[in-house]
Amino acid sequence: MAIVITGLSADDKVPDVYNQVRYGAGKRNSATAPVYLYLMGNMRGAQDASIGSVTRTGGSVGPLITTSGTPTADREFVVEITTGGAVATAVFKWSNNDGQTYTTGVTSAATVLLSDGVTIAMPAGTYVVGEIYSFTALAATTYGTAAVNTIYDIDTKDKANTLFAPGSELANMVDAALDIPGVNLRAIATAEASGGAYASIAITFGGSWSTGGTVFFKLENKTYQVNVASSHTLQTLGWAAQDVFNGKQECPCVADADAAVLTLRVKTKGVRGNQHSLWWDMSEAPAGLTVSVSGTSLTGGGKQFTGGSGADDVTPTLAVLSTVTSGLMNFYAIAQNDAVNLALIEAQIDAKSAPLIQQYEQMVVGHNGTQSAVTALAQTTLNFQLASLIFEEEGRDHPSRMAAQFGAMRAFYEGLSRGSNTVENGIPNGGPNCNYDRAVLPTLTPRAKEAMSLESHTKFKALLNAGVTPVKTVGDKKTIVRAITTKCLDGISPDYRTLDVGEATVPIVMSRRIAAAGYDYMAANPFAGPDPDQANGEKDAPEGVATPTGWNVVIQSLLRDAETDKLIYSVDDNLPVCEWDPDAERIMSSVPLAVRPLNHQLGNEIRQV
Amino acid sequence: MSRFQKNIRVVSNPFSSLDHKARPCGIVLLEPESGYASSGYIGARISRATTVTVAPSGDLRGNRQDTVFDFDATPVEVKATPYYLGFLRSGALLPADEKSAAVAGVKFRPVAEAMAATKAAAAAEFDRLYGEGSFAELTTGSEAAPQPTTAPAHEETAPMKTRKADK
Repeated sequence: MAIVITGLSADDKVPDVYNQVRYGAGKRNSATAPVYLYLMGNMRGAQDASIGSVTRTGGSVGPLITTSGTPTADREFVVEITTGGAVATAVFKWSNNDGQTYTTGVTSAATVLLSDGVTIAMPAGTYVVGEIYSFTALAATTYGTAAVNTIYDIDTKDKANTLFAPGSELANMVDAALDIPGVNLRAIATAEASGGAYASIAITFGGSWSTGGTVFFKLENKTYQVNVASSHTLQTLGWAAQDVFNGKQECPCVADADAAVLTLRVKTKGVRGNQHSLWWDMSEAPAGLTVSVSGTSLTGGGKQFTGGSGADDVTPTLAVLSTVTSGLMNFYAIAQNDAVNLALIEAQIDAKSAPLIQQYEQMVVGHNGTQSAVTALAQTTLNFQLASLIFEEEGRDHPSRMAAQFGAMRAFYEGLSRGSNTVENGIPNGGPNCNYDRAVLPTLTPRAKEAMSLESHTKFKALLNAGVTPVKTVGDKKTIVRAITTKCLDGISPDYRTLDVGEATVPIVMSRRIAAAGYDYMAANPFAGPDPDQANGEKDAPEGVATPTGWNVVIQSLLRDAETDKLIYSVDDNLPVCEWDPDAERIMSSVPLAVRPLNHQLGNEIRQV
Repeated sequence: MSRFQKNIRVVSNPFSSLDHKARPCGIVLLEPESGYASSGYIGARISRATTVTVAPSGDLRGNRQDTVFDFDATPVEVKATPYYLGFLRSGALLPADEKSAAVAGVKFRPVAEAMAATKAAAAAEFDRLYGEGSFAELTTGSEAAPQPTTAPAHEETAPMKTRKADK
């Protein structure tokens, strides 16, 4: 059967080495070029100046004040009537820090300028003592210096914070990725969801207490320690907790205390904000203090954020990434984990891997929802050799951080030219055929012990059968069960021919090595022809003439080296076939690769005698 | 509570997940049993008729496909294992009767009613994600709703390409 390279027609005259990676069946690049991890996620979007609606408490019988102006600072205004009566008679006090301090003795008027560009209008009517009006003013603010859809080289977390704003989705992805030393990192921000809403969660403090103590809140891999004083009121405790959250710039949320309710609002808009979860520990809290948290209940006691809506659109980002080239291959760690965006990304990565382009890329996505949802995503939208989907059911880490850290591991370890392919102290030793079994995700958050019922052999087996890479908590570490691709179906049949991620990466690496050798071979042999028919007395091809047999020798040498590197095996049973295409006048080769299996399982029957 | 494991009757909830074309894909794999390869789904199967390979003309890289599921609303009896109970609690499976709902600790709603509610919620969520009217735009003119069939509630798929049942 003739060897066919997709897109390489018989009349294609463009000189090059054309490689086609076929799973289950580069252009002028070095085989040792660096591998980059590109992070895709949201930077913190700009905040428009706004004044929120006025809330009235304390009777609600007097006139309702209105607001106007352009705030120049973020403020929580409180206006409280201290002397009742008509406009010009009534007196009020006001605060711009949520009641912590007040300006007192202000006489009412049709309009009163408070501070920071905010004015209130007091319509005619009888104002009532004790009525309180409150509203929030937000100044126009931009966060981060980066432009969306622009690629940045990232070498420090500080740089990411400056570019994308601390606590943003993308800055936190950088934080997770750079915890893998040696990774070559770039990042590109996708614009936040147009018209999207922020996810949030509300913490309500209640009860009363007479001693001090501590409440520990856990959000991803950070603990927020709120020290409770015996002198705290519900309001001052709320403020104290607010300062704790807002004091950590990497916190993915903005905290805002109002009376006894502390609201955490995710810094970036969109539905992925709902994938954050909050956990808390009351073991050292003072007796009598209560904490209740809104949101969707999770196994083991945590709560998931709610209210985030809107999906961003990766189309403009992909347009930028379409021109990115790869020396060996690149990885993408992608925050977007909704079906529509993943389908777009998958299509582009697939297109770039085509023989006439040969820009190899692999994508890594995270998920912390339900087993059903992740199975559907892997089997329908993805089902793709160049995608891996890391999953922890109801996991505490945001999926974007999981994708970033696993993507960094893959980019670094699989980018090494060779390795022992073992895991030592939980760290894979690297190489294109890398074994991630039990590899530790070093700074991701282990599962709460109260939620360990979510992990079982049965679930892991089902997930691995469905193209999902599960993680498992072992002791106080989050580990990878087995790193696989999402390829799991061929038509209606299960298809595990490209199961381990190494089975996707090794063919890419071998393609690059063969391409590099091909350029050398073409340079050394500027002419080409069929193998001499020595049976009929033809002489050897002259110096400088490439032949199928000559090229076959080169490929076999590469395969033997790869066999030594434990990338492939059984070369003798899978020899390359090279032939002369007389129509196109070129050498065409078919190179089978049997990727060396990894040592995943041992079966031992222990027989007592 | 009985110490003996019960059987429950469940129905797949197609709209518990939507794919990138807003088609229902709320699948639940059969529980892998020790020593056996697991393939096939509860109340669903990959559609032979509409699942197609996606490949440009002449592209032999192959294996990309547009997977579509056929769903069957016939109740399936399974053991009340933690595996299936988890899917009932997450809404990927629906209890077919009150007894099964009680075993799972979930509220019982008639299947058609529960399925319709899930579909409405999924459509609303799809619109919230991708813009008002997105769900209708993708599904109008196509038959997105699951169609009860006379086929078995679950069907073993064709033999897998390699035997890697327990990974």
